[in-house]
Amino acid sequence: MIDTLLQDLRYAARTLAKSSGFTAVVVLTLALGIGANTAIFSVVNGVLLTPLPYQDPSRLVVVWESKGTSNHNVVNPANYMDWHDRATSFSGLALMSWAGLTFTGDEAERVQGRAVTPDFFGVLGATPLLGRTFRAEESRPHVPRVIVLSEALWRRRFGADRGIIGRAVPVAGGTARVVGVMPASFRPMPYGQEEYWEPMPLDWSNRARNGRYAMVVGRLRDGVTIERAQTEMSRIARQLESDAPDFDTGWGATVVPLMEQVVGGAQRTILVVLGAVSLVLLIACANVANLMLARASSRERELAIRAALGASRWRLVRQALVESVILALAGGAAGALLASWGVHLLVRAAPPDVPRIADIRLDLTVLAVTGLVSMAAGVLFGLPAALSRSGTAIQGLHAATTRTTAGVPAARLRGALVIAQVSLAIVLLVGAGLLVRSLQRLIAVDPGFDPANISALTITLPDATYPDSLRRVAFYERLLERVRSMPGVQSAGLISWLPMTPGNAATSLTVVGRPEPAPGQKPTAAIRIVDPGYFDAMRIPLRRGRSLAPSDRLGSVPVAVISEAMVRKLWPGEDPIGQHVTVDWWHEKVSVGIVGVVADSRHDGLDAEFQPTLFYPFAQESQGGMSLVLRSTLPPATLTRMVRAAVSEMDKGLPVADAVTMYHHISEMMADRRYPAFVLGLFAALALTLAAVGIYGVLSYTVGQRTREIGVRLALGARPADVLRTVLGGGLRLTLSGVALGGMAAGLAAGALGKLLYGVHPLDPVTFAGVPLVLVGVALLAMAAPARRAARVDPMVALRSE
Amino acid sequence: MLDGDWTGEYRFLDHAVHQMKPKDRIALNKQHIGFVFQQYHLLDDLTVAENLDVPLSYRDIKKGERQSLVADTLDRFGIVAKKDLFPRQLSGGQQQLVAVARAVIHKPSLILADEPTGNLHSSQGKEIMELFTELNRAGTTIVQVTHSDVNAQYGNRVVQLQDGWVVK
Repeated sequence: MIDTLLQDLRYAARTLAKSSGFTAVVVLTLALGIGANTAIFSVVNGVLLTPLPYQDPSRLVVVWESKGTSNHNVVNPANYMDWHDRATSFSGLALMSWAGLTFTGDEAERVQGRAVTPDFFGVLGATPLLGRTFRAEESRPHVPRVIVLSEALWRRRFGADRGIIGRAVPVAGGTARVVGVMPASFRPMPYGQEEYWEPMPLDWSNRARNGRYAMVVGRLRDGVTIERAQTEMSRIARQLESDAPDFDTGWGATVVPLMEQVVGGAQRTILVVLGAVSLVLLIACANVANLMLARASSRERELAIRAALGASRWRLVRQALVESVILALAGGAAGALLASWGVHLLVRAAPPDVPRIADIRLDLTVLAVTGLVSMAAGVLFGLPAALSRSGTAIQGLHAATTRTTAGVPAARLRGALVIAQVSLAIVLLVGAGLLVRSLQRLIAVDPGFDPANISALTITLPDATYPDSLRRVAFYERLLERVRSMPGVQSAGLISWLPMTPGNAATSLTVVGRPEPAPGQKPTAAIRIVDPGYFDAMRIPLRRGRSLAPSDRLGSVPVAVISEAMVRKLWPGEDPIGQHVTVDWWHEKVSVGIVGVVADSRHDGLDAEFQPTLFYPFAQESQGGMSLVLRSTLPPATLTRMVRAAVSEMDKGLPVADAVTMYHHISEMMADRRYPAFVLGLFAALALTLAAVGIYGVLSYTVGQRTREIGVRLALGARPADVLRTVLGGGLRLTLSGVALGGMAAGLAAGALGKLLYGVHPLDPVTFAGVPLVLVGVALLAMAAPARRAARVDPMVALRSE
Repeated sequence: MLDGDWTGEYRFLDHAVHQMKPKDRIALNKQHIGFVFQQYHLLDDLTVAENLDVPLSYRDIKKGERQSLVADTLDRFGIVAKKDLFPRQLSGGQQQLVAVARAVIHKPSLILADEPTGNLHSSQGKEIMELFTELNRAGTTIVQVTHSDVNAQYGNRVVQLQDGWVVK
């Protein structure tokens, strides 16, 4: 048994080496199918399937506040404290908020972090790599600053020095004592890229409610379900509505499993891509099955001889399967190589907000799945060929010696496989077409400002050295003066939160002179702090009133400029100039006068609605972190260097982030749409190529089989054009059948793209009309060579070969 | 025996072939019958030695025994020097010699030869017919289908067929 199996292996290897063209096409086709699948499965495994790297992660949840359609709203710390005291569903409930720290010393560096309650690490079940986590007393106000580092930061900045524990390191405004280092497996929480943690100072005796800005993570007690926890949290939220009606009316609480929170946004994209790549594998398998069938037909003579020499049906099937499995394994191996390259490409091209992107790698599980897929593919495409050949071979000694064309069932099967390939390719092409059309629509959207030649960089002034508004304003005004006089800089401005970057700052407000709205019914607006030059630099036109002026400073009358969306929301049909508002978050008691209206500009991406926005003059209400926008044709790297030099002269050691073009920011915001369009486009191109190879293969084979018949026809007076028409007609019939079936399937599948589409209907007529034209065009190209070969058959040569 | 497209009664070595199941007929064929074709039908991708080995491998004979049978047959047919050559490297006569060697290697009781010299030069054809005569003397029954009167003369019994009917 083993001996004859080895013999089969040897013969199969030799036969495949001899037909190197066939082997190469099959292996490459499988490699593309398996490689693409392995790469995508690596992403699925890394993002969706691998459990989160925390202890018993299925019990971890995030608790949000909710209001109206916004059910993932950040949390007010006092509400958190009440949840913590009243809820029984959780064994631990920790609060965290975003933080940042500037390390000083030889090289200043600004790093992102989280301020957390001391039980944060305990709730997640995480233990430090070195040292310890926080003690309860370290979260009290006015205690010496302590921090826990991430392993990456510890290695990068402190050279993996194990003696760092207990040491006070220089940070802006003083020092921070390092008490622990968390291992690399301890990943950042959702919506963060934290590299260090610090205790969140929380005064449990003060439940004054002011602003929502934190996140809550909890661990469910054993036996408590999400539903039960949700019911309890909703009950507590209702209690808080009556306890603090001014602040909490209309607000609820939402409990979300941490895993769902981490992968939620990316899930649809990844599943759509997974579906697409499965179609590519199916097309690849259909292609290979077709090639194997054609090959089996051309080897009927050999099989008939083998049958005549005593080969049983099983031996013939086994030999065919051995060949298939060798091809599948070779394809699998080549596919694994392609996949390792593909994973790299996918990770590099992935949008920055794809969760757990750093965890994606070609791991052993994925390799095992590749192996299984390739074996299954081997059996899948080997079996029809083997059964077909064994059936004909046993009865076929006579057939083999009298040279027949392929059997009708085999020809039908090949035709059906081509139709299936074309159908699947149509589904992928339509999906890619819809996404590309969405992107086109999105790119055409006016952001409300002119992004050309705009670069932006962020500077954060430490509270320790810039504790008050006066110093901050003085710094930024001097900086603006220097930057505006730099050669190549046309204009410059400052804004507290750059457009086309994730996140927002918004709060509720009251229009002075109007009746107080019912609790929870106050209007909200986005808040931005800008300098007077910002609107000019961004080319945001003034619609009414005046813009902000350098004279709008501390001590002068508080003023603001608002966006048109805010006018539509609060003063429809009225003149807002001269109206006054009070803003709950800042200036709660101060009446701010509206002096101008500027055109709307988009903040959260090109597909976002215009937000009602209120712009404060920075000289009246400054903050430490500001983005400097520069209109200049100079490359961002040059601008970074120039600004760094200017900042360094003013405050040596103050970190300045790299300048990034506004187009880059826009592109990042569109990444969650661009990525699936890119991947689906890639797969659609692959599918189109494979379908073309399939059509070419079947027609080439058919022409080869019909050479004698074509020779006879030509000898009897047929013109080459007649032959051409016959061959092209056969190919077109298959293609059009596939187009019709694929069109219907695509119509059903397009709905799955859902929110990935923008401004394009899932049954977009342009896509559904254009895609078949592209496919038929490519199919005609694939048919050209075999059709021409058929038309050029020399009747004498064809008949003499008999 | 390999196809079922016939009617009537057919007995072979005391077996009522017409009453046998296809699987048993194939087994009977495998055990007792060897084939020689007009177009040799050697397997193109296998060497001479491997072509000889093929019928043996389909009969579950152990490797050692197969190697010894192949070596004996190569020697017996005087083609030892050709054992590693592929069919395309042989002349028509040499290919048919290998085909006959392959047909007899598993010691069949009956060889069915379909126009075995049809593609050969007359001198090569003569050599093959003499080989058949030798095998026949050694106890193998040869059934040859031929249009050649000269080849027919080598037979002990000649049956003439015309349009599918026995005429003599």
